[in-house]
Amino acid sequence: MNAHSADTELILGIGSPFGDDQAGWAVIEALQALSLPDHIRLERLDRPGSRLIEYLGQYDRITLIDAVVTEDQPVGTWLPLSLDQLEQSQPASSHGLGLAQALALIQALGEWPPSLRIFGICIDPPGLEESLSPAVIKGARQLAETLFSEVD
Amino acid sequence: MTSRRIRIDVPALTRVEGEGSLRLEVRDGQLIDLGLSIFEPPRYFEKFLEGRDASEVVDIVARICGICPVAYQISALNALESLAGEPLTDWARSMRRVFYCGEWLQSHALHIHLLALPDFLGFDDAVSMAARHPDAVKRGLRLQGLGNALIKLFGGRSVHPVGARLGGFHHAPSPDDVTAIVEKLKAAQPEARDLTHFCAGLSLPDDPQSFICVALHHPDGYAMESGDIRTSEGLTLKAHQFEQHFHEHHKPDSTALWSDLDGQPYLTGPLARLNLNHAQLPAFLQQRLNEIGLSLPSHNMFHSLLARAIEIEWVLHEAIERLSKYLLPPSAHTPLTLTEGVGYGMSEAPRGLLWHRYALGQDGLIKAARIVPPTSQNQARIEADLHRSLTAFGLDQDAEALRLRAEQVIRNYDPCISCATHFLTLEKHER
Repeated sequence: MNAHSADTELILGIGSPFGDDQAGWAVIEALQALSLPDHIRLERLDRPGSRLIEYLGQYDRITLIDAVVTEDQPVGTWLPLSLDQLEQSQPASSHGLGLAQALALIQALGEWPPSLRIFGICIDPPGLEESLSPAVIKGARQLAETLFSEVD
Repeated sequence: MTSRRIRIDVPALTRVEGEGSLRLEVRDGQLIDLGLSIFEPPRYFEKFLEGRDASEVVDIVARICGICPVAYQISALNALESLAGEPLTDWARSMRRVFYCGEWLQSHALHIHLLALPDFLGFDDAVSMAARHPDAVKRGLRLQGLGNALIKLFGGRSVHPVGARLGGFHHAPSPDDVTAIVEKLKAAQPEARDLTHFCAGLSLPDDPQSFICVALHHPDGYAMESGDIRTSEGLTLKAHQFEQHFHEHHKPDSTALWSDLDGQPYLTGPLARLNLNHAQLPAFLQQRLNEIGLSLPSHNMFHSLLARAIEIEWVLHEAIERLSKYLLPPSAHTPLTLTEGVGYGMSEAPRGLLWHRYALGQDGLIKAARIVPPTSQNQARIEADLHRSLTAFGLDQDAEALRLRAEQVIRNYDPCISCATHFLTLEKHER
């Protein structure tokens, strides 16, 4: 992937095509319907694993959004996540590095971007259904509106 | 009596992709019970595909796997295009091979550097290895990135590419883009050569064992995107004959189907390919095999690591050869008319043979689909290997050593679960 030269900010939704695991993609779709400035690039990625490194090295400011399975919060709740919180979570993918592992690898290699923040949207473990639950759709829209409201 | 029970468990996943578990019970120094179970999402996709238009299949199957979408696309296209009267152009056939080279490159680079090397260099995972061996990890990421760039050149994007279609591709890359990537591929060749020597210098277990190899073979070159099945027992099969010799069955403790070749476990993947097709490698790689002292056929599963390194060198060479002669075609695809019937297709995914069958109705819709991925084909072989390797390793070894060896054995096959680094949860029961 090559960023356009004018792009300085990336908002990246991570997910897979299975049920509420599409939560990160839903945020990107909601943002695409809004009028974001040209310098912000929106991307959806399907289980990127270590490929995240290709993306993260190209932007000054990065926002990552992924689904998280937790029993501590209601489904559809969105919340900022620290790297420590991510590291405590289970690997998100068995077929590549999970998000926490990929970010830890980036950190170990000294390739950490200047600004990075992570948001999680709480889901139940997804099945093989194609559609998202109403609670996750609502949470994704709320997070998109919050991110949009922060734009200068 | 002492009973040790070892469980391999992939913890709760949010991505529905390759879950697995291994149940291992040792009692009084004897292996009482061993059972491998791998969850297989392709089975569900078979149902998703029913009722879809034939033209949609290529994009749906790309979603099965985040690591080898090209393999699923090419096997599906081979199956469906077998129902067309019109042949593909030489350009489309050649560029499909280059497209596939990208996938082998990124998948093998990921496996070697981030999954296998920590085992052999004595680290828990790639993250802890990165702090001590950043150059090795960065080399892996560069090679993986180059593979992704090659996939993107034809697929539009590297993750679940969308460029392939019935009859060829939606889009032909510009000669300028091709020239640029050829230079990068050439620049990576010394790095790939160093990688092969690096892997050959590792202290790999010497553990030869007997197994049947299965791979595609093509008379024109090292088989990847097309060919007939060939086995080390001398069998040669067309795609439509697969089901006459390869059978799947359920095991009570697994959601996955298990494959056998006329009742026997078998190996598919890089080492099987290299064992059966090494004579077709170019001269410089024959020389490399001599340099590293790899004698083929090899029956040491730990040589799978070397097979992947050799194949990385081969795909770089193959892609450079083909792209150096690149000409923009008049059209990137040939319009095809598919006829009602059953189409069979297969190709060599990075992990091994990937076989597809589609029943197409007169209305152009898929009536039935069957997908046999390499991981399920290797499951019986992995289990047989674990039986043998862990017994040979010594069942009296401490639990942690047994756990690590079991992981290494499984990882040689690069199944979906292999990516969950150090995925064994050990439970020791004594009474």
